[in-house]
Amino acid sequence: MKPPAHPLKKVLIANRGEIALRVIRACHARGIPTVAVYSDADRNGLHVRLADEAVHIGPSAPRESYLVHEKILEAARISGANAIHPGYGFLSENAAFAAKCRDAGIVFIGPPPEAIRAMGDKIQSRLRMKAAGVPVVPGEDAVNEDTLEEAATRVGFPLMLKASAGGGGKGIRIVRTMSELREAFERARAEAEKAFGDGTVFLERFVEGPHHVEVQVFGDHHGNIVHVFERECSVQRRHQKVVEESPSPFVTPDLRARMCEAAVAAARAVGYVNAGTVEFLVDARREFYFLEMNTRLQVEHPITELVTGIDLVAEQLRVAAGEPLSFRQKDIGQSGHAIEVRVCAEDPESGYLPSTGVIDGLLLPGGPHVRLDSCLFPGLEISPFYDSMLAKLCVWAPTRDEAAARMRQALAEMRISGLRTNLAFLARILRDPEFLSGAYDTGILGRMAVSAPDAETERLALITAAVLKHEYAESAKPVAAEGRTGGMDAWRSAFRFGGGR
Amino acid sequence: MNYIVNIGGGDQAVGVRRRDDGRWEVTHRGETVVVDVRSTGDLHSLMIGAKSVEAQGRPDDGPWRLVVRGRTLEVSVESEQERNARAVAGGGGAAKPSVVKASMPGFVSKVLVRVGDKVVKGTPVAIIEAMKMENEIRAESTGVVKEIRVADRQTVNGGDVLLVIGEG
Repeated sequence: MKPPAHPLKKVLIANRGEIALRVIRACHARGIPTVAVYSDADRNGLHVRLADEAVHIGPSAPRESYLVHEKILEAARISGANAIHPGYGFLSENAAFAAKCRDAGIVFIGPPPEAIRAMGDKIQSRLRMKAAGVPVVPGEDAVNEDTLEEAATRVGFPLMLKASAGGGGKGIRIVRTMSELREAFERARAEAEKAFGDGTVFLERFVEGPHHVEVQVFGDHHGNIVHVFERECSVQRRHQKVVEESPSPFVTPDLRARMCEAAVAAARAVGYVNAGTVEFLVDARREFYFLEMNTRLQVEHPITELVTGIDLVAEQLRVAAGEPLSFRQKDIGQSGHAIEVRVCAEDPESGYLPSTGVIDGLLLPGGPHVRLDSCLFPGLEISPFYDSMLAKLCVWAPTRDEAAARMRQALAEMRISGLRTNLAFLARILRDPEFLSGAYDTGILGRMAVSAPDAETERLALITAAVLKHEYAESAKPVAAEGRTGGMDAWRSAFRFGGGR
Repeated sequence: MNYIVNIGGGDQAVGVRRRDDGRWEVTHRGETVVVDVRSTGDLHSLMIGAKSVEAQGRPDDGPWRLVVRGRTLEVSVESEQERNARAVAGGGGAAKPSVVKASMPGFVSKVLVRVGDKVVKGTPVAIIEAMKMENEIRAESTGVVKEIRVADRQTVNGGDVLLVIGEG
């Protein structure tokens, strides 16, 4: 067999958290040494501990570390890495960075900069997709302070304000009336400027009751482009995904075939190479529209791996090295059902406010077909600088019902102490009748009702509450004054109890 | 010690007594069970009779969050003494000035109110940027903004007082 055109000798991972671990694992499985990078806040991160080498790249704020092209490239130079995996977020969809890698003779493990650029500008990509025969949501091109009201009138309410350089739910606002328009525009523009360094915003008609379904695609340097089927991503809060599943319970075989074909056409239209995802909105009548293409590995890629048996990150490494894809379209299919939940440091009961703190207690789920991609360990400090996602919990089972049951069990097993998380909220979603019916759209979380606990749970809760209150009052007495106001450390030192002493 | 516990369905009395072996005797609705507690951080394993109960929460003076068997509940627990002391003080007393605190560390991207502004419970008063998101901080009481203690672009820690709301 011919050796690959660009063998990966050492891979630098320009990311942090669980995705950095995912890439480190894939590299080590292929015998490729790894280099982590880290900011001040991440010295203790698991990615630093599990990589073969790690390079400090500056202060905690991403724009002073993970987002600085030159620091990443310099880290690759000093460590001798000849390839960079960007993960998701940060520099993963930055065409200028991908181009600088190429100029420096470093393999960027992702698509070519031209494809990133073509899809990164949402306004331009909409036009390209129309030309390629892929349906897009009706909307307007870039708007500014002067054209805002006029353009909004043409599109009609409700409408979506979106960042042209956007992705991942940042810089998106739904606007229902003209009176909300200007403030929403300013907030969207500020968020887009902050997140992407580009405040260009455009309008799109808001599709009511939409399903968010995406198709995984993969291209290599030998002209092959395949799809790896769909993921249903309609369970969202603040336009960010919370629960994903594959296959989509909403998509029919006929719709699947048409969407997957459109996704391949979209990828082909921009000369796509490596892993990418074409996102579609599907309305209640099962009409679908191109939303955007994510020119990177997706957060939720594991559920595709679970139903197809393909290791997408290993495939990324192969393709980046110049090897052909290890499979052809006819070789792959969907088997069984997979669900992912995103475990986040946030409080769903208070508007999803982020939560920070030190992990001081951790119980992890296990058992057959349970997969946890996590960066957590006891003692890890969750800082306010980065995304609130702590872990991805995925399960597989032969049927959707069995997968949901397995996920409920896994969520019941998983517990995190030290900060607020959405674990109980995720469990609620997995018990929600609408979710379990499979007939849900992106409005599901807004409709989800809180069911009252049954009598037995209530009895146990009453007893638990009284005992904990008493335990706490007893243990807190010597340091009561500090225990109230001194934050968690004082609280923790005051809260050592247990029946065994 | 007797406690008055409320988890949303009205007050209920629960008696708690420490046994010599470190476990607890808890009386609720005339039935007494033995309870054993093991804790790691705010994660608790309770044996309530033979029932195994996983719980998470940190007790507080006001309402606090308790997760029991995967259910999130808002609970208030008061001892009889606390209840009596509060009654003597006059049913909660006069409205005191209340503060709005930063619920997380981050950067104040914008203060949305000025001194003298009237706010009602739920009015957005500031935006704090943390974990890449802009988060609205809302007033938890109704009144007039008396004092603003932070400026735009200032870094704050969780629990820092952002502003003070008093009576008009």
